[in-house]
Amino acid sequence: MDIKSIHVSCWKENGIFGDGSCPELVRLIHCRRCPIYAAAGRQHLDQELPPGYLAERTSVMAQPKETVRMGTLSVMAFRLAEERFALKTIFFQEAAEPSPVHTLPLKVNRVFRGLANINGELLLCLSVADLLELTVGAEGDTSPVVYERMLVVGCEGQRFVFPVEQILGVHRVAPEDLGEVPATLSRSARSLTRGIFMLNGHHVGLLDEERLFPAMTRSLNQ
Amino acid sequence: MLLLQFQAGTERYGLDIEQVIEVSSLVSLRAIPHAPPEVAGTFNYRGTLTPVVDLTALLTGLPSRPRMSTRIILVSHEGADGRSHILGLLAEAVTEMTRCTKENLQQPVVSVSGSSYLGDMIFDKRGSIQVLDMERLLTRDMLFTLFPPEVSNG
Repeated sequence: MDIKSIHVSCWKENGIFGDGSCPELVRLIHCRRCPIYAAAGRQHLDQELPPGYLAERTSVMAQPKETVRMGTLSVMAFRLAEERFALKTIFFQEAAEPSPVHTLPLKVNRVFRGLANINGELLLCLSVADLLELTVGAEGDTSPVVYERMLVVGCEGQRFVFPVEQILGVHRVAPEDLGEVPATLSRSARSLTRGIFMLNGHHVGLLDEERLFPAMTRSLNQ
Repeated sequence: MLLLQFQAGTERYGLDIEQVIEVSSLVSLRAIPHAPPEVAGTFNYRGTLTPVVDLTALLTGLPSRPRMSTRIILVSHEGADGRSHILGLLAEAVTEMTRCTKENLQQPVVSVSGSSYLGDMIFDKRGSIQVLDMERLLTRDMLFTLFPPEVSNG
């Protein structure tokens, strides 16, 4: 197949960015799987160097290579009742806008708050802050800005949603950076926390998923 | 075996990725006066002074053109002093990798003296790729130029 003999921008005419009439699309679904599109992309790299490119790349290649430390954990950090916590990213599924929680008669308790509608799906809504027995500080001046979000987490088919004050993003933590859980934490928080690490000058508690999810399930039956 | 492809003139060649450390974009190279034309120059590769051999110049006699797809393939190479050194290989159209198996490799039928580094060939949809033998790529003279043996003062 001679790439050059084919019209150079067929993806704009009968491909995915055009009217979609290309017969190959039935099989490939998207132009990015097509060798013509890939070859055109590579030809794009055959262009002349933009000004300043050589100088920039020369200084980049002179720097030591940034390497990722082995065996690090990817964690999703968030803020709860003025404290910072994190959960392994693999258990995090979705962050949603705050939504009203519908109570269930005779079923709700301090931790289990009811059902929340997250993108059309009814999920069990819990208060992890209450599960951890966190008390909202009386001074309340640590971070007045609250960007409330609903965090959907899941483990082995169980899905829960809980409100957080702010999502702090995904970070990597090396196991050797995980410190002991201080004794000043509440009993529940201590038992559900695996360790403490530093993130931008703040202590963050890494929640232990092996204890957190059973504790969440238990709270439904209280 | 995974091959890193590049192009010299109109032909495609491949390097076994086992020997490749990293592929760098084109950088500005410091010319070496009186060096053979295949030696493109030296640059600071992550703190190490690294010589760069122009594969296009070696294979076609013309220097590599400065393009976005012209890149420096960094490989480890044994020098004349018997130690392993980092060597940069400047090549055009370094944008693709090809997987191939030992059974698909074909012995080259024509062998030209002085080009023993030209190794086995494989065929794919677009034509053929010739695998370069890294061990034989640099001639003895070149090896002495780039990585001279240590001179004892005694």
